[in-house]
Amino acid sequence: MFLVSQEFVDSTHGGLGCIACHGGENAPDQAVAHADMNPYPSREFDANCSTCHADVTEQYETSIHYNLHGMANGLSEFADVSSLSESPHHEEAFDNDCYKCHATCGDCHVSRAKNFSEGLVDQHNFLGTPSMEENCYACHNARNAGEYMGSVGFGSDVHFEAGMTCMDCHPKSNFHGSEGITKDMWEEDLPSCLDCHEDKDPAVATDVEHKVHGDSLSCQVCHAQANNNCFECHLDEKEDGSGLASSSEMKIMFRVGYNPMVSEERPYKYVTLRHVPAQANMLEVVGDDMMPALNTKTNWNYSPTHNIQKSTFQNESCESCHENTKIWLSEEDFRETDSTLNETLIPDLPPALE
Amino acid sequence: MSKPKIFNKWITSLVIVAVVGIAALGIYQFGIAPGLPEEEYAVVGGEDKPFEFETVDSSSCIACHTNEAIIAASTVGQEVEEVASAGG
Repeated sequence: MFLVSQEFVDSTHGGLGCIACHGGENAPDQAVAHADMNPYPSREFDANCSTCHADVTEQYETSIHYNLHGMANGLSEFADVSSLSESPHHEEAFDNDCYKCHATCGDCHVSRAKNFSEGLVDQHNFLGTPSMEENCYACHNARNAGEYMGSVGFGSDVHFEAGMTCMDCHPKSNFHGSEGITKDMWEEDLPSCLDCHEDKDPAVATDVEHKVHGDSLSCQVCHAQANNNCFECHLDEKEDGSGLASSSEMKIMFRVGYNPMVSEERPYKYVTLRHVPAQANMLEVVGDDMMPALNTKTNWNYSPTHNIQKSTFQNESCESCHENTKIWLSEEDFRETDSTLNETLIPDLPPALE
Repeated sequence: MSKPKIFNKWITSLVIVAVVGIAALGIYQFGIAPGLPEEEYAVVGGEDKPFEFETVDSSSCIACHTNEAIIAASTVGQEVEEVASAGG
């Protein structure tokens, strides 16, 4: 809906006047007024938003919401190059598809992402805290936001049901960036369940479940529900010839396997996994052998699945996990176009119960 | 003093009053004070603002983009459908 409210006109941003940010001309004729008008002024945030918000814009280029380094570096590793700029074909594919999802200031604080359905969220009013439903969900609907809100999978997250939003757990630095460039989201200051649930830290927990399992299982292994997995991801020419578009097959599954990225923050042996959109033939429309290093990385990855519940089918009893062979990653889950390194994630079955 | 016969029927009286009123408004808008509505800005640069900044006259933009009738007649954006999966 294109509608500017009087509330916005009376606000600080409205007081600047439309032309201050959008350009164009103050003329009663639409064609004249819109000539050289920029509908997305925050794409040039250095020239526009920075006038008042330099404290944010100065470091916004470090934000993975802006630079999409997680996706770019992941693709570089599969492509066996240190940077996409070394491979024009990969860079072209990334710019034509992946990079369309990068966020500008306006995509979170004023309007919905162009790649979703665009349009103003609230009559051009600036939202200091973005709307989870209109902004976060616009880009993250297929996985974490969709799972959190219950539109993807079998149920929503208990924190969502309690009225919490993304911003209640994720710090501002996850969106605005911080002082240094990060390789991907795993190097960001991500929230931890223990930030709030301190009493469940295995070092201090008094209940058997968290004392016994807390060091070896990620919280999601017991408390997450099934998540959305992408298979057969492909870039193809659009029917109208206007560029490339990606498509994939979605499948709701629940798989637990070995942790593919053990770290100090996430030392768990077992974690929930998710099949990510990366396969040997996904870029064949661009060129041959576009993923030469596919087998050096897994494409079943660590999944901090966002549909937590206190009670789940796998934590109903000891047997529902220890004797439930359906939840453990196995060779039957692999496809011909998958990374062979996935085999290292297949876990030994848990100890039998006495 | 007797009133003109034309006012004998109440419906005729109503029509005459409406026509005269609309004509008067038309003469005012197009003859006496033509132009777009005045823009009204909030006072800026007060103590609660970080610094003074100049406003850019955007009265024409505001005249259209806050006009309910113009917005209602617009079809911009209506053909845009929500993407079922944005991939993320």
